[in-house]
Amino acid sequence: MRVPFALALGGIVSLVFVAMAGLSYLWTPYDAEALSIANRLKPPSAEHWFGTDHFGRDIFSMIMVGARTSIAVAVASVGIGMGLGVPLGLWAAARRGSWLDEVIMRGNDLVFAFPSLLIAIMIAALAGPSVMNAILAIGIFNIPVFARLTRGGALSLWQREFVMAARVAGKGAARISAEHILPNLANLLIVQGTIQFSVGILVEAALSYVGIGAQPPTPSWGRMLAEAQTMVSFAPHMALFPGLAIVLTVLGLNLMGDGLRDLLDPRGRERTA
Amino acid sequence: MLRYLLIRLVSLTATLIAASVVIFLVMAVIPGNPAVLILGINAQEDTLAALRAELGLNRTLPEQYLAWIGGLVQGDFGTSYTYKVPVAELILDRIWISLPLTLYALALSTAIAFPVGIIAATARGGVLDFGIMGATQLGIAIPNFWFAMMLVFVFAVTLGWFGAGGFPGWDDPLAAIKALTLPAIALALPQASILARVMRSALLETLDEDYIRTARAKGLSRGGMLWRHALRNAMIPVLTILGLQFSFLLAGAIIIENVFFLPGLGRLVFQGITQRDLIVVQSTVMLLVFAVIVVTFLVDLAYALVDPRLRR
Amino acid sequence: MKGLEKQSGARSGPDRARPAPQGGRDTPTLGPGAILSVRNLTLRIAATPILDDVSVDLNAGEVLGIVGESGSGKSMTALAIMGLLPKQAHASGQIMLEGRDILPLPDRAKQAIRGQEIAMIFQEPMTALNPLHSIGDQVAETVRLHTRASRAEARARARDVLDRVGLSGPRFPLTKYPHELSGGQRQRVLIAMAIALRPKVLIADEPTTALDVTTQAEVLSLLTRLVEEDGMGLILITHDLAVVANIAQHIAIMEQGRIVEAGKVDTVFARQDHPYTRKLFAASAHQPDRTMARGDTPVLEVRDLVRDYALPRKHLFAKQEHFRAVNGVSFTLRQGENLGLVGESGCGKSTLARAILGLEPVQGGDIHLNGARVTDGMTFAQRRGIGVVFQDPYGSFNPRHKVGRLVAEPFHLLDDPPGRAERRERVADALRDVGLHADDMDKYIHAFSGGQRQRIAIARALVIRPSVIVLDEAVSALDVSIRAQILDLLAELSAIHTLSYLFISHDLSVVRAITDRVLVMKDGEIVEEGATERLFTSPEHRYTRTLLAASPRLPDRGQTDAP
Repeated sequence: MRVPFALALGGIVSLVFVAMAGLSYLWTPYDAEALSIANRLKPPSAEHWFGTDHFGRDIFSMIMVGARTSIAVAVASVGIGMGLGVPLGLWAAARRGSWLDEVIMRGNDLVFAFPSLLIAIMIAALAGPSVMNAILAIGIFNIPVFARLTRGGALSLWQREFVMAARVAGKGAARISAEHILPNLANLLIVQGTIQFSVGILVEAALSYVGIGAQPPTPSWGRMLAEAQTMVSFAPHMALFPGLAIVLTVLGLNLMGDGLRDLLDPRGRERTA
Repeated sequence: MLRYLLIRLVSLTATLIAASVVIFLVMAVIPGNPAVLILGINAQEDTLAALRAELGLNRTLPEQYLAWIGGLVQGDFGTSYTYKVPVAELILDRIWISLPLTLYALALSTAIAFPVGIIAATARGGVLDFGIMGATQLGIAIPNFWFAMMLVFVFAVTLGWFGAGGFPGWDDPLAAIKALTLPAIALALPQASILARVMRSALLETLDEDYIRTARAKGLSRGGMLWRHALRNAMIPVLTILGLQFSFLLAGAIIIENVFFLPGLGRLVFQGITQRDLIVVQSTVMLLVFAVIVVTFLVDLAYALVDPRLRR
Repeated sequence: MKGLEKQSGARSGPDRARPAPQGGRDTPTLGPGAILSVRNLTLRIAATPILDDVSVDLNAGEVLGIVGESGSGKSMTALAIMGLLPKQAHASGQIMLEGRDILPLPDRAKQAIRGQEIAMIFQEPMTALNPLHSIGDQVAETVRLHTRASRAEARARARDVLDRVGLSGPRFPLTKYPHELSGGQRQRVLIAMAIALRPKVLIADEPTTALDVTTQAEVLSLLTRLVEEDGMGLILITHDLAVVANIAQHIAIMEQGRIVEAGKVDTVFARQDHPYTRKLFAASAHQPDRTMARGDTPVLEVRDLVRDYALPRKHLFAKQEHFRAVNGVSFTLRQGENLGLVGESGCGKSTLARAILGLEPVQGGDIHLNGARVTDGMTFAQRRGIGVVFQDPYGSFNPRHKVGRLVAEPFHLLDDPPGRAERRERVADALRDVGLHADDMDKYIHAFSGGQRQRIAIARALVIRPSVIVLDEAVSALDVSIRAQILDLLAELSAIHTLSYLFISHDLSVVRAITDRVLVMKDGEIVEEGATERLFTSPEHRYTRTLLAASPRLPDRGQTDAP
């Protein structure tokens, strides 16, 4: 099977950022937390590729370390969303039309009325701002995203004749969901997973930017941007590079999602079969 | 139609009630005693007790909830612990920035996305389509607040076409709109990218339908087919996204206000968090959720206008 | 209406490119009276050859049937005439409409012809109408596109045309929407749209395949009437020889992009010169060789079965209403017997099947399988006695599993499921039973054709040797020649294993070929039951007679005299 161009490009870009985050545990060009007043607000140069911030910290090193936060938040929030949303969606579809289905779907509607920012605001008010706050807020918002997607896909699969055949063979709802429904939803979920992953990175940056996400000293792209804001007029590089890091990561993930969709689309495959 | 409306209305009310309960409960379990927060830890026990009684904190939770909701319905949002003024006043001052900003951005997003999406769909597979899809892919990846900072750097700091922030008030509407323009663009572009892609794919999906073939067999041109048959059918998924975008834009507006130092709801709520002014947070969140739910309801109404199958 | 027509004719300027009326009679390339003449049409899409040297003539006031199996190129021929070929298509040859070659015309000129001079209706009435536009608007659109009629004039015309196709004013106002109409009514709207401007040629691509037999008969007679009244030529594209036999004057039989035999219907039916023609006829009238292995033991007994559905509430506080899909149905299926269940869509036959299979709860009556009463939810032991084959060969299998695992699924029902080696052995046996190879178990389902998939579905139903197999429209999606093979296979398996079938179908000719006894179902009830031959030759119930009269039949000569 030919790998779509978008998938290859997106995959490489995403991998680069994961690799940077991994590498940051072992090595960074400079200590990302080392202050150096003498070197403050240096523009990009051979020594400091992306320049330094107002405390003289190396921005490239900070971006490497900040990638950890972005990836951790995205992974954890997609994990929460999938881990709870997919079973709920499968369960609702298996009990279609019952009160359980109704409760799950109305619960979903309710969560959808709270954009993840509002959830984050409430949790921040409750427990104070932190990375965990960002993870929970984005994760909770992801639950109905995956639950709806799963339920919708599962409902149409339950109408398929191969599921009828499995029911005639006496298989129960749980077993059918695991054996026949979930595997046929995998493509859909993987594609949505990459999309929510990139949404997670964007929202984490926004939450950290307004101060209800990552707190010092946890490095974060969003917080770097918050600190850069007042200095945009004389040190634009402080804002430019963390922003580009976000853009590239999200772009890479989205391209990967699109590429995966093209590669895995059952309609496309059915045609070639 | 009436039945559809009624069902939607009931579900709107139910969601509102459920949302208010959630917000109330989250705020009620917050550790720390609001009375202590307000008066400080050195306050006298009898003053604390008096304040607790005044705030209604010595009542049961259901009583407190009903009191809060009853107040909301009458426009009484409680009194801010830090500002010592009614929350309703605070919100009213600030909503005149956040709401126009959201609507401005929504209008911009729609105005950009519709033509771009339609052009991409008609040029399907061509260079123009490829270019548009690439640009929107980039647009989706850009965080709006960072884009806002870049806009400030280019158009305010470097070119000096706009102010870097602040809000002159609505006394001079033109100046007010000008002050909201950069924030609205920053908000709108990423959302417009999403909307344009949805528009394109909805159109392409519709163009594959059997009734499009029927229309062609009638002698309709490709253009006629698009305008008379495909566009209206494609509006159904587009409306869904438009409804979702309202809540994203509203949330986005709260963040963007920080970049431009706009005294909107965002600043109010973030200050509320840092100063533990919980009644402000609680009421603002409720108001925003209310707006989101009402817009969802409006989208449902729009469905019924577009789709005769729902009007029964 | 007449006035409008004149007006529009006068108003359509020279840019309409309407050819001067010439009747085509004196054009040398055309046969006598031919209004449309396809000459040496060859077509490929990208590099795939689709049509090879296709030539047909269509006379005014006549019906030309184009018959072929899927992939024969019959629909592509229609699209080529309409000028609606896909982008990468390359066509050569001529399509002469009243002496003018319309094939090389630019799209704009073809648009002026489409809907006005050549119109087309398609197979799927449920999806062929725009759900957001009223039927009046959709019919009026044809008029407005090609004439300068005002909105009011176009609507008046739409009203007239809808009346003509049998959707009369009071019951079917112009403001109706497609979702308020049945499939047959929607097909009438599509016909109205097509004939609104009295085209010279009407192409109908499988116009009745998605419809019930009685509706099919009505639509076909409507089309015949319109051909007579308007003097237009009708190209009827179908897979069903019997449909053509009943209404067409000329026939062209297509196979793999070629016309293998063409001529007057009577002549072609009588002579059957080409081997493919003979094969098609033989398959259409195929009667599997059935040796009876019938016992008297009842294997499935259904008594007073009732299945109610809760209807959506009319408003929030309305009383819950129910729809009785199956109403007190009783019958007995004996060992080795093939029992047919026929009825039109919505009569409850599929619901009945699903209730018997334990896929739906029942609200009354009881079911005995192999002598034991079937309880709610069905125990494994009960389920073991019954298997099922569904209609759609493409939707019946989980695409992620290999054939071996798919066929082995019913082993789940055994108290003591066989081990891996024995399971493979038994799956291999089942595959061989249905005419496939044991090696096929290691392939994925997409490697198989529709007919092969249906064989695999039968293998799956068969693998634990149930006494009853429910065949729910099991051959309806197959081409006639494949269908004949599957019917043979079913007859053979029934004889070898003394299997009982409950054979559910809307297709009376298939039921007649494969069953011993038939149940006729209407509105949730069995209205007639009887031995197959008796029921088909002397039906008793009025509804059975209607059904039989409506279903198209091949002339006897075709059935028996074929060499």
